Amino acid sequence: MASKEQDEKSKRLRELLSSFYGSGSPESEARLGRRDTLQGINLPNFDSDHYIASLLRKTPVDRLLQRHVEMAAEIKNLDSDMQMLVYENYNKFISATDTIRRMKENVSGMESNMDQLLNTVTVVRGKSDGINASLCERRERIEELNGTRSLLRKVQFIFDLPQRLRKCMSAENYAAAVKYYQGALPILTAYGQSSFRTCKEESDAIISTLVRRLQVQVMDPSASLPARAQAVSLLQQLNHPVDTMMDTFLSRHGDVEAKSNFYLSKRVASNQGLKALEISVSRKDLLEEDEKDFIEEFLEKAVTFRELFPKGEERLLQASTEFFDDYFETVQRSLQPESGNTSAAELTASFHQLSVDVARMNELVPEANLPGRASEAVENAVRKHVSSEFQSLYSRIKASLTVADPLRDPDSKLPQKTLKSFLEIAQKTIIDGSLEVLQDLKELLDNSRLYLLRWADEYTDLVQGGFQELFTNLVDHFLFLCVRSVETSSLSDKAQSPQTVTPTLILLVSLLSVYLYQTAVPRITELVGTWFPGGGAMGSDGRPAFVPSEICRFFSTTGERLLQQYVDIQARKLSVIVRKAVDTPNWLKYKEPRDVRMFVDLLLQEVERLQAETQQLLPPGPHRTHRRSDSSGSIGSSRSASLREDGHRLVSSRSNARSQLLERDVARLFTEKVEIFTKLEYNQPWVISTVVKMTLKTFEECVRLQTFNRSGYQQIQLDCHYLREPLQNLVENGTVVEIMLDEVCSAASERCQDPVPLETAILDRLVQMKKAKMESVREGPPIPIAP
Amino acid sequence: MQAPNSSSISYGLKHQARCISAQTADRENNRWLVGTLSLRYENEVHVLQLGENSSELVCQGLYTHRDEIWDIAACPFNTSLFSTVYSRAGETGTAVWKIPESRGNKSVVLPVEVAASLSSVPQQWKCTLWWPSGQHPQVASIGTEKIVLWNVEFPQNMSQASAGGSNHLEVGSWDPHDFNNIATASEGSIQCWDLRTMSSSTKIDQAHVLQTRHIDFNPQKKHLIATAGDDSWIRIWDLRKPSSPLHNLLGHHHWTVRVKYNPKYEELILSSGTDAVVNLWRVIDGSLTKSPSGLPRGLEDSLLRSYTEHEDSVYGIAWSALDPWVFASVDYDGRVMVGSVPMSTRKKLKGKM
Repeated sequence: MASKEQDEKSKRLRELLSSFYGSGSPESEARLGRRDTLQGINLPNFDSDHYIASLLRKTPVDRLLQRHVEMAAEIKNLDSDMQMLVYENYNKFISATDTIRRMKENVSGMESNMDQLLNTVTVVRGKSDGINASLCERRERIEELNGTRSLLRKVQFIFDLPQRLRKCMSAENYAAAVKYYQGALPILTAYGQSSFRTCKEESDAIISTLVRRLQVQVMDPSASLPARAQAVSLLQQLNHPVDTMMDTFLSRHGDVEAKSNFYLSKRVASNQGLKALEISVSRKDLLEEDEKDFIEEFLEKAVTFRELFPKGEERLLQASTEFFDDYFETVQRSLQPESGNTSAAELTASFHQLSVDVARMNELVPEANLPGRASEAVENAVRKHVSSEFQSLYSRIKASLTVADPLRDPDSKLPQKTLKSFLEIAQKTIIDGSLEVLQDLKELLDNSRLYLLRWADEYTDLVQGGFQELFTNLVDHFLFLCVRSVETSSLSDKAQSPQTVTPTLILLVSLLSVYLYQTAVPRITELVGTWFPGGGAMGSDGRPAFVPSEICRFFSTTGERLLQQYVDIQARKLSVIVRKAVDTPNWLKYKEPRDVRMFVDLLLQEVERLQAETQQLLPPGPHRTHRRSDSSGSIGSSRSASLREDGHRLVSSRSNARSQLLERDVARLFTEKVEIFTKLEYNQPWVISTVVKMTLKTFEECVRLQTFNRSGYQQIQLDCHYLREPLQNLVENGTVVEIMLDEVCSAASERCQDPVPLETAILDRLVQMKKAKMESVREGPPIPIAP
Repeated sequence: MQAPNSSSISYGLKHQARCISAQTADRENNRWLVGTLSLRYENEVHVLQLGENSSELVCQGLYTHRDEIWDIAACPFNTSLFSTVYSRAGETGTAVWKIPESRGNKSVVLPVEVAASLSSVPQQWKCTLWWPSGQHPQVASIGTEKIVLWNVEFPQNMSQASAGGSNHLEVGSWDPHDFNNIATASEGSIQCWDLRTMSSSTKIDQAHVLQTRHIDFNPQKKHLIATAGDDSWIRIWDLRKPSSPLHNLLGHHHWTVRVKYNPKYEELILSSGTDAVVNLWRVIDGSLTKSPSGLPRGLEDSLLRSYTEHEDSVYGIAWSALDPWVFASVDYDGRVMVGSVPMSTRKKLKGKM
């Protein structure tokens, strides 16, 4: 039984242990359950009765005994184990209980201690609060006093400031002075008006002297650069307007400019005083010298400035721009002096100098766009140069014309060839002047290629445009003269005002036009073509700057118009003489003609003068001698003879009007039609013959408006007869003169109430008489003009 | 009498002639009156008519006029009336004549009959002008020293203006827009006269350098006149701006003696000169471009055509009163020619109207 109990005990123990240790698996239980219950002694659901029964049933006695022994041993072991376990755990329990008991004792003692502590702490806190409250007041006071003390120290500093500053000033320790002043400045600005007035004033005064000293120091070129720079920075700290400093600093360039102006005026003076050669030399030297000074000074200034005012870069740029404005103005002025013309060489030299200077200055102030401005200045100078060249050329040409003009006094006997020489001078002026200009401009282009590179094409256009303008101006001037001559020609008889354009000038200008379009313009065109090739840039209206063909056309038409004008004026002059001679007398009461009338002499004189004038200028014309011999031939005289016959017949057969008309028509059929108005030619015979023909036509027309008595008719006849020979000599184609004089006579006979012509013998006799008289008079005083 | 150019229509007078006038009163035919200028023979007045197909010039009437005729003007309202300025032995007179009734016998040449004569005023007469519009008996006669306004019906009823000073009036023209205005020329100047007060008004001091030969008023536009002179220029003036001409036409090679506006197309101007040429011009306002120096370039552009068939100075020209494209001219030789405006110009002008 005991074993059973033991088993049960050990089983329970094991159970406890296993539950304690957490082992014991349901698997093993199940396995055990299924196995023989004999083995399941350690299982919780072990059935000891069943186990004993089965054991008794299955096991023999010896084995049972053995089993019994075994079991008893096992139980013994288990018991001892149990005992061991209890013992051990009991000890522990006892010590635990002891501990608990001691703890209980300790805690109960602590409770009172804690209360005691709390009380003490409360007391301490109350005390400390009391102390704190009593100390607070004092602490505030101390703090206040502390503040007052520092304030007093500051005030002291400020009151001491002037003195301190003075000390610094005397020690020349400007930096310290500035520092002190800077420190005091907020207070001074805050209370300067009230409490510290005197102090502020005093220190301000000192500071202003300081500033002055600093300024002096800055401006002092003898002082070292760092010192000056320091002075500047101090000044800047003092809020002193550095800009004005810069201004004053830079304004000292004014001196430079004044100096340059002085040079310039000197140069102008020297221009007037010195001779041409010396001028060019001295001017150049002066220019260089002047510029050098000018630029050296500026460079120096700029370097200094940069050192002194590191922040004044903008100002420097501005100032240098202003400076260069002045500079370029000076340069431009020197490039275009008021008096005289700079030559290309001088201009080139100036350009060179300019480019060198500009390069140097550009290094210094790259922002100022100096090369651009310099090239602009060069461009301006070149443009002005070109236009002034052309202008001077134009005025020279005009001058050569005006020089030629006043000498056209009809009374003065000019030496032969004078007019020719005038024409030559004018031509020479044009061609030489143009070539000179071309040469000059070419030189400029060649030498200054570097500077002109950018707008070489434009330059070419400029030159070409210059010529175009020159020539159009000339055409306009010529036309203007032409118009003027129209306006003044009626007055020219009465008064020779200085503005009067004399016919000779018209002729001269006409020939000049011919020369221009035949020789000068082609030559210039050629030169322009070779020397100034390209010129690709077109003008604003898309046409080339220089159109030689157009110019030639202008000159050609102008020349013709001028020549026509000349002829008209001359013919008008003669016509006035003729007209007076025909209109004045009362032809119906005219007395028998005794002499050739004076107007004829006047007429011939005029024609001779005209011949003399034109001879000098105009070519003699082709086949002159041949035609002249022809003129005095048979045609003219035969016609005049027939007309005279006609006149006789008129007297004899008055009634037969029809036949007279027929006669006239037949006569007309056989004579060539008089070509009064032939095509314009540039030669002397054409001019003379046209003028004479026009005059004779006027003569005829005036006669047709009159009515003559017999003597009047005879007078006209006589005048015509006298005119015949000298006019034939003067006019290239004498036949025309012959025919026209015949027509005058026939017109007079038609307008005559009683047309009885003078006998040829009488006519010849009267003409001989007149000639003899003329011979004698020619040695004597000049002939008075017929009333 | 065969013309040298077969295309031109011509008619030969027996004597020399200076003047021609269109018969404006005839509204059916292109007729002109031509007076001869013969010092020693009896002069004639020819009534010429342009034939049916405009191919020939037919003489419709031939009348004798004893004295040489320096100026002729057909009456604008009566086909049988015309005025002349005549000269005999250095004495000039002016009269209005009546063409005699034809009595069937065409072979007899009848003399013209005096209708009215201004014989009471001794004067070197230059021209007589009819009242410019409508039926009005008043005419103006211009002499070297006087302008006389007189009535054809009562020749004694007249008013005069004296040219005064050394001025010798040469020619005159009656303003068709202002019947109180007559322009006259003396030497180079042009002078306007107010007929109400018989005193001078506007003056152009120097219209031409030498003698001014003729004046004509623009028939369409007021204040415009054309003048011709011995300096060979034709000038167009605005009388309101007498300081400078509107246009300068380089008229003829010698004197320009006549200038006439076309009665219908005022752009057309006819001129004749002592260079035996008749020129037809077309002047358009503002057509001439001026160069900077003030001299017009391209003057020749306005010359439409030159008629060069005449062989002597052409002193008389007259537009037809009926057909504005036709004109007649007479030269000193007594040859009357009829010319016409080129077709191209007609088209242009018609298109413009």
